[in-house]
Amino acid sequence: MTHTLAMHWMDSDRPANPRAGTPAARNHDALDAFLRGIERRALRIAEFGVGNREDALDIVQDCMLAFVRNYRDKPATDWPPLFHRVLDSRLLDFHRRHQVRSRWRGWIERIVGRDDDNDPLANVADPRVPLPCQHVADGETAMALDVALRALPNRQRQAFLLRIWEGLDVADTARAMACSEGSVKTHLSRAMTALRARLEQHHG
Amino acid sequence: MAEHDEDTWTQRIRQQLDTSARDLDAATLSRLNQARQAALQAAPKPQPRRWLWQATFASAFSLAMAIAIWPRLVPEQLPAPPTGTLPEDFTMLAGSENLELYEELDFYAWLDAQPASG
Repeated sequence: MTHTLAMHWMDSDRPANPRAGTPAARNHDALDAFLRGIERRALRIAEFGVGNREDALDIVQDCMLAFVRNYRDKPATDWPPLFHRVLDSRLLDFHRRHQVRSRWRGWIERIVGRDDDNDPLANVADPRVPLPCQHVADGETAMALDVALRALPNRQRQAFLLRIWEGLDVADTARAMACSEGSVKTHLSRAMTALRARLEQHHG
Repeated sequence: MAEHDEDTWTQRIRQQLDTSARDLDAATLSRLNQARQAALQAAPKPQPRRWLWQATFASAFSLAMAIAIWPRLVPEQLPAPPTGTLPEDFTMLAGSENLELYEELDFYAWLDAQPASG
């Protein structure tokens, strides 16, 4: 399945390149086509993970930079799991930083006391709650899917999105998530069960 | 859930996810495009082979040194001595006892030309 995806983005339209024909130009074009093919799904995966689009865009940009810098010379068939390895790592970093910030904020609030009137964060919308206008076109079912995916634990969500949406096989998913194949199967099974329970009324 | 139903269910979810990715707004797509271009531009350009430059420089330096040093290594060409009777002249000059003989050489030549008189 990974190879099918790789062929799909490699066959897509590419912009003309004056250096076409040289190995460097071929590599540049292939990277461009690969990133072009994966960037939207990567953004959505990041968005499910962090809960808002701004942070998701920053993470995807950082992920693209790191991927190109470190893995551009790897075989193209290895790019999908490597890209998702980088993305998964960036999402993990985000959650760690978020936890540290939350811990410090809680500590400061305990010391100085909480003052909701002067807290600028009080006026910021909860990123984990989808804006109503954001999913009007997709309808209620799509919104329910968003909410259900965001409610999943990180590892379960990653296993589900990489296996079901990205089409990575178990080995590549394990590589992308830096865990065993058995863990992937466990996370995926639990994710499917949780999603099915949450979406039963929408999908029947 | 039967296998067929599960396939149908995952297929519907996949379609919804595809739709959500396809229908991203223009501003987001622009940001993604900028991010992709920035990543591709940030990729280090292929460096010219450093050893090739080093070898070229070393060769040029060696050639310049050879041209500069060569005239000092080769001894200056002296004019060749006149060929012919040089060894004989040295022998003649070295032996002081024969000088008188050479001074009387004309006499001895005349004497040699005289017919034997018995």
